[in-house]
Amino acid sequence: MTWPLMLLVGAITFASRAVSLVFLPQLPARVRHVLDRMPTAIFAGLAAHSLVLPGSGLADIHTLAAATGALLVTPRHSLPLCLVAGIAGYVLGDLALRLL
Amino acid sequence: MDGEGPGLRATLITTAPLALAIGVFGVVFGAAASATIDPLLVVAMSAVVFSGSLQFALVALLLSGAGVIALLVTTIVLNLRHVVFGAVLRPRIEVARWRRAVLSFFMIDESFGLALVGGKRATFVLAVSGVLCYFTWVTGTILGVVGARAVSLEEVSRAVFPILFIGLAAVTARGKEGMLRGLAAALIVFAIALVLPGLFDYAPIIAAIVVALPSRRTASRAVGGGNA
Repeated sequence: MTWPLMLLVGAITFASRAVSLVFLPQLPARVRHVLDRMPTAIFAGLAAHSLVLPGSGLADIHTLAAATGALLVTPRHSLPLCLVAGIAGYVLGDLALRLL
Repeated sequence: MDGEGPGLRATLITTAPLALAIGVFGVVFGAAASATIDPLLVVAMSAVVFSGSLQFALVALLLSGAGVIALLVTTIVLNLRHVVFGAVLRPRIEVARWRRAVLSFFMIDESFGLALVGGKRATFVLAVSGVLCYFTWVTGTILGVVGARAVSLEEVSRAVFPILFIGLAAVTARGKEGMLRGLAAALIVFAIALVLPGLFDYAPIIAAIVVALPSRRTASRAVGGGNA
C-alpha cells in the first residue's frame, strides 16, 4: 500500500458515497417506490450477513443468542427494545454456555 | 423515535454502543494493519477512507500478495452499496449540495441506518452518528497502531452489529409485508452464503434489490399513488 493508492481508494470511496446523495435529481415515483422498499431488506440482509462466516458456518453462540433476543421483539418495531433484548440474549447465551 | 426524529441526546444514546463497537474494531484493524503497512499510513487510511469492511479486505488482499488492480476492483465492488444508500437517503436530506457532499463522507452502514429511522431529522442524525463513529474508528486505529489490544471486547462488539441491523429492519418494516420482505432478504443472504460464496460480500444489496422490485400489482398501485 502506497500513499497515492490509499488516496485513490479514499477518493473512490467518497465518490461512491457522494454520487447519489449529492447529484441525484428527483426520481420518478416508480423508482422511489422501489427505493422505499429497500431499507428493511438491506438491514435484514446486513443482519444475516453479520451472522454468517463464509467457509466456517454461523457466528459464535453469543452473537446468535444476541440476534435471537433482538429477533423476538421485532414485532414491537422498537430499536431501543431490540438493543436491550439483544444484550439480554447475549448474557443468557453466555450463562447457558457456562452451565453446559 | 417519533415522526420528528430524535434529539441530540437520543441520537448519542443510540449511536454510543455502535461507536464503541466500531472503536474496538478500529483497535483490531490498527494492530493487524500496522504489521503489514506503515503505521502512519494505517492511521491516514482510517482517516481518509473510513470504511472498516473495505479496509480489512484491503489488508487481507495485501497479505495475500494481490496487485493494485485487485485492490481497486475490491474497492469499487465493496463501495457499490453506498450508491444505493445515497439514493435511499437523498429525498430525506434537504440541505445545500455542498453540505450533502460533506455529509456523504460520514455515510457508513451504521449512520445510514440511524439516519433512515431519524424521521425529519435524518440530516442531523447522519451528521451526529457519522462524526461519532468516525472519531471512534480513527481513535481505535491509533490505539491499535500504538499497541493496544481488544481481544476480550472483540466478541462482545461483534454481537452489536446484528442486533443493530435487526432493530433497524424492525423499525423500518411497514406492516406484515415489510416484515416478510426483511425475512426474504435474510434468507437470500443465507442462500448466497451457501450456494454462491464468491458473491457473499454483495449479498445484502443483491437481496435488497430482489425483494424490493415490485410485483406488477404493487407497481401499478405505486404509480397510482398508493402505498404498498
